Amino acid sequence: MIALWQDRIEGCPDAPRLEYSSTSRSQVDGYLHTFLLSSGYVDLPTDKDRSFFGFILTEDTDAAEVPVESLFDDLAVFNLVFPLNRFLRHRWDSQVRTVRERLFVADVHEINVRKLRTYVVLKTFGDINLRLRLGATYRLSPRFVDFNITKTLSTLLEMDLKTPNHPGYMTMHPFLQLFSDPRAFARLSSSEVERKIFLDASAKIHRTLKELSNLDHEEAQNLLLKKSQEQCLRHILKYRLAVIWGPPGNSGLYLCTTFNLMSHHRHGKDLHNFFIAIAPASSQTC
Amino acid sequence: MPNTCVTGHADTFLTHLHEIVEHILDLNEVADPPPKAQVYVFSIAERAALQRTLIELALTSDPLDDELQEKIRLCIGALCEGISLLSTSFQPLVLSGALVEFMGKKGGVSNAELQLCLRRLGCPFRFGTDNELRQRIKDELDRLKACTGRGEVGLLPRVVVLKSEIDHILALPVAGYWNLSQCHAVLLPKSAGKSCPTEDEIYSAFVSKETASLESMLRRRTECAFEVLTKSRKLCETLSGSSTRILVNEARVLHSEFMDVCRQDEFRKLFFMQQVSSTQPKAILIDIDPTNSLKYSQK
Repeated sequence: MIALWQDRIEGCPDAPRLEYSSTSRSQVDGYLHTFLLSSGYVDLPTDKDRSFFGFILTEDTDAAEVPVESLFDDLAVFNLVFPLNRFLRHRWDSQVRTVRERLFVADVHEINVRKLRTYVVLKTFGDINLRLRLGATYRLSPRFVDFNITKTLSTLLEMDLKTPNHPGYMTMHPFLQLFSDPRAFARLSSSEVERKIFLDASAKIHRTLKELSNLDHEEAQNLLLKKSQEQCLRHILKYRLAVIWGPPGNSGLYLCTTFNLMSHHRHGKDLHNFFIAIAPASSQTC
Repeated sequence: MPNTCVTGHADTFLTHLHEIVEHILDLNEVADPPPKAQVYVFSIAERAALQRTLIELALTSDPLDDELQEKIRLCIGALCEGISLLSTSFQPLVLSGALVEFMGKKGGVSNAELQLCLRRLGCPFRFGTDNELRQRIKDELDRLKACTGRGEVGLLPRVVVLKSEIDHILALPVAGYWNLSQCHAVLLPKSAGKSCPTEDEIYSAFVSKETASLESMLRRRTECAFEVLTKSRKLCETLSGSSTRILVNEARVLHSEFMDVCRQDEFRKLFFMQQVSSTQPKAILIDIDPTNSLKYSQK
């Protein structure tokens, strides 16, 4: 963000200049504004499904005054989804009046090249009375967007609030143990007796499922654990940290949820289980 | 208020600095409107030296000496910023708490946790329903935003480097590299007082341990820096004409705020680092002092 300020104070000399030509309206995407690229370059964002509206658009005038971008307050809107709904509209209204009168938040929708000229199609969000002027030149510059930081900070705060005041060694938060004592994770976790109880219970369930599947019960067949999965389960029970990988569709998720249910049933809330998943869907389900 | 110039040895630096900062912070409470303050140093090396000195004091001082720790905390909160603070146990407020608004939001936070948050923010926490506690947290965050608030163009650093700013604004008729004595000679050629001592004169006094003349030269140097500052401001106002203003920002009220919502050292440092690194990603490359590398204290 500091880097953005250096540019903005000087009036964004490196920002691409766009000349407004026309607007069209589509059912799906709303208003799309077409601009002609006069200088600089614009990149199409790689992820077309989510539009972050990561740019700000303002008219490029020669007037020697404070550039409007430098008055834009990034922090008021950095983690909001544009276009803003009526509940969040007040965040936009908290911007300085000059910003609301002269600045749009923009998203690059498409880039077309026709007859050796580049046409950039943008979606914009701004004040209701703000309009684009035909033939005028506009500057497009990036803004600070970060959806993850509030989640990270609130998670850190939550972990800290849950930690008791003077933790001894064993009650240090597991997340911190990753830094301070990573080797502890290679130790054996629960006692022999407990493990046996778990394994016996799972063997009993397994036998029931097998009987059901022999009777051609389809769902029971899906719930049976394969040999490698059984091995994984034994590993989870034995060690504090287990790293499990499998190609998608191999019920890695199913394994995690079974273990979660088992340990919850057994220990109540005292046990911490950490799951790290790449796909957001899996962590949500867990 | 008359201009006062304080000089002394490195041992008394913290005490003098603390006195000045505390005086200004006390005025904030008493005077209406509160006075605005801005700290200047002449060169980038001096700013780095200031930060390094305060951090070394924080690291080498006795953790049980409460008075000393309080002084260091006040000075660091008012003047320091950046990743190098991670080596100490002081992590001041970043960006007036704009990134921590989630604390007042509805969500899966229990009443006990809200109370704990309030206690750490220094607010009354015993009574109130969930909504009242949340409102109290929001009010405290708003208060922090108001007293440390932005509303300026660009993010002003806590300590401004005079040389780079003058470089940006004025073109001085000096060939090549210039330092304070040349700048002073150009901007104030007919100064009634003595001219600014050059770096060589100061260094020779330092090496030959002539403390009296060294102190008087350093005092004169500081006064010259102040004269250069006032002269440049005057020049900017008179030369810019009626339509445009070159100097667009007003100074802020001095503050030394911390938001110690995390008690655990590691969590507090991670909290601080997350805020700094997401808003200033290059700070990680620039600010890490090679001798004080990022280490989480092992307890």
